Amino acid sequence: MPNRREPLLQLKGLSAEIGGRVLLRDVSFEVAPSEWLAIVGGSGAGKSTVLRAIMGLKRPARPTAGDLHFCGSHHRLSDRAPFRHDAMSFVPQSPAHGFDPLRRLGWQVAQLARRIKGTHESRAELFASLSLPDPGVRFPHEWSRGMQQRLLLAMALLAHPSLLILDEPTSALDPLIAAQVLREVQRVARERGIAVVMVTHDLAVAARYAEQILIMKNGHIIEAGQAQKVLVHPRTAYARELVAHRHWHIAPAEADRAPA
Amino acid sequence: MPRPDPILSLDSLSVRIGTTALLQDISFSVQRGDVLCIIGESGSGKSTLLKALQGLMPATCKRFQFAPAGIDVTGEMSAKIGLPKTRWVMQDPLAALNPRLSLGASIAESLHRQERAAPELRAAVMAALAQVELGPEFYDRLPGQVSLGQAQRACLARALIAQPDLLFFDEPLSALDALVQKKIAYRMDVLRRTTRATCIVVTHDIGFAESYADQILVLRGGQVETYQTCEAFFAAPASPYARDLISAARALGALRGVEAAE
Amino acid sequence: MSPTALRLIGLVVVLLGISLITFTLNHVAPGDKATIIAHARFPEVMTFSPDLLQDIRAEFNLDAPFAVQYLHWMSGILRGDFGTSYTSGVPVWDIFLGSLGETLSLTLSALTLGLGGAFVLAGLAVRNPGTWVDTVAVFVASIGAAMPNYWLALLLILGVSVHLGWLPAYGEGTLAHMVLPALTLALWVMASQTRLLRSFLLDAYAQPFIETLRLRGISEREIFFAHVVPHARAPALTMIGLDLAALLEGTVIVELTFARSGLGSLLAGSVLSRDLPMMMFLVMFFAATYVIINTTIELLQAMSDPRTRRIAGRP
Repeated sequence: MPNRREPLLQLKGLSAEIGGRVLLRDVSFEVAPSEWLAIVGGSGAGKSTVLRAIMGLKRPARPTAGDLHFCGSHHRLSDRAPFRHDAMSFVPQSPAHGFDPLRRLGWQVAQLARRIKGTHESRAELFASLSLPDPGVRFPHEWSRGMQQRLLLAMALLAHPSLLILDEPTSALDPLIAAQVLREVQRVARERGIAVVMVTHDLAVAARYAEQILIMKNGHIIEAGQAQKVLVHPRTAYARELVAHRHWHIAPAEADRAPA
Repeated sequence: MPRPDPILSLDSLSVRIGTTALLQDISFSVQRGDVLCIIGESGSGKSTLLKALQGLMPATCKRFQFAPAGIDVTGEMSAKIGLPKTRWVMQDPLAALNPRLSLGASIAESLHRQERAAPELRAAVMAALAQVELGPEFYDRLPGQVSLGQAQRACLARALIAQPDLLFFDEPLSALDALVQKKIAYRMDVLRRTTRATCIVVTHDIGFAESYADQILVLRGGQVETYQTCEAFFAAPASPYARDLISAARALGALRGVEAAE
Repeated sequence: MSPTALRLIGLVVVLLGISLITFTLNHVAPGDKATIIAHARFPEVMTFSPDLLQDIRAEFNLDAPFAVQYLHWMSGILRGDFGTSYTSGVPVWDIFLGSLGETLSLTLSALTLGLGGAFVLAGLAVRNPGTWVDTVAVFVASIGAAMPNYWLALLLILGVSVHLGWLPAYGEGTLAHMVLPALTLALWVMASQTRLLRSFLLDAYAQPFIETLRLRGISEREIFFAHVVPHARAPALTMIGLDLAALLEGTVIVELTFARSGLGSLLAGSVLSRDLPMMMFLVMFFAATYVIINTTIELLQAMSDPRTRRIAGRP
């Protein structure tokens, strides 16, 4: 395991609420450069709220406390002003989450390119490295979902990010496409030394890719650590349950009686 | 791998709408108590196949037999709509349940053909709830007041209470969290072993199939890509596409005996 | 057969059906048609000789069986002869052309004003959800939708003309005469369309890719104009097309209320005086307008969505 370097991203004490209901309580974690962190939990655990907060969105959930250090800059998350970093790129969970179906793909790539400050890498090279043709005047539905999803990854890489954010990469895609995209992310992240924060409800996926695992329940982190440690020695009952049920096959003795 | 006396057998089913063929020459047969997993990506024709078996699509076949209901059809499938002695569990439990009807009432509706006294009906619903590990307090809850997993358990109870010979599952777990998926899958398996009901499960999850299927039918572009027993499928997948599916499942950590280590 | 050709055939069938229904209704209506025409021609005469009535019957083919009368009328239409008004003896087409301008300028200005207002109000409302702007938009829409337009017309006359004396209460000829009728229709259009547009815009905002655009740093302004509005356009056009029937009906009422000439008052007059050719023509015109505009909207929509467009401009 790599020794802890200066963290790329450091989140301290994030709390958030929506309409007075608390969604997140005191969430803190660090991501080292080129490290893969998975945030695991069921629906309603607050995983996506964490993602939105570190990406600077203030709606629908509003951060009430928390500090974010990222790439040498500091944000107080309870401040009203939204912020965003080109160095932090988001990969949507499916083409429906990433493309406007009424706009040509080339137009949508150009729209993003206009937004990015400073230099960005040659689009042709980037597309070629993900075995994509030039999107040009094609509309999203004219490409297969696999190609669309790879294009979303290419767009996320356009600004030379040092952190990629993956939101439920396996739940809206067919397994063939999900596996292909995760392999591609793994490859480019290694080649370019990019860190990854991945939100997933599936511990098996997290176990396959992440070096660090956070387990969230009811808006806070109940377990955190190196993937191997969490998988072998889960401390909390919920984490033990997740670990025991991470594969489809459950030995009868392991099967928990608690209803879902 | 046909064995004697299947509960359901299908020979060369085709569905075409206009000039496009949605399904071509689909054949399979299932024994009592077996699980057949139909696997394929979106648009491969999985759901169309389920609909065609119910006579809801303009389908033709060489022969379709479903012994428990005495059905033996040749030619037009749609001659008869609906398969008696079968029940469905759909992907989205909230879409499948009437939001204004309590779970108990929804489950009881499944017995609408049988005339039963109210106390007896209530007892049957309670027993069905218990089978899917829901307490009696769920009888009066509305679908909006329970979790997605609990709602899907109620759908399972609604299907089981009718004691069907055959259960159709259309992506029954894919709307649920991984942990809930696995608990319900385990329960489904226990129940089909005790009730000896046959299950036809449409899914895109190879991991589920590995643990629970007896046979695996892979659909691709409306045609049968492979049709093998579960053991044969994983030991020697009959096509490159099937091999890709298995390796994708492995890359997602969905198969047994594959762990992080990267 | 292409969907477009099917639509066009459907259009012809609908128009034939409407003409048959209207013609039948008039045919079975009580009263001797010849006497009615005689009254219209000679308003000062009280009783008519049987000979005159017989002449009129012969002139208008009134004794022929229903089918013959209908086919006779239809063959005229196909030759471009829309008939002659019973009451004035002037060709229907000429009367129609004389009134078309009035109605067209009234409805077009009302549509422009009303749709513009609705777009601004609904746009402000969805971009400031939960604020007072949103509340005002919902309020205006509900009040407007609950108010019949003849009543709104009377309120405007009472307020603007009678109390304030700013604008003439009725009549026509100048731009000032046009303001109140146009405003009545415009307010009604605005109210009904604000409510719908607001919900279409909200639906467009609820699409999953909108949040990704925010995360990419695309401005709210660009998201609204480049993504949200195009998605709301298709359903909005459909509803505007469907509302057209109500707008045409509103034109009749507003023209009568403000004592303006135009197709609406012409239609009302022709019904009251049993002027069959005039009435048939106007009913057909209104129906054709409605059907043609709605068909055009449907075809345009199929063209404007790349997912339903048949053959896109492939490179």
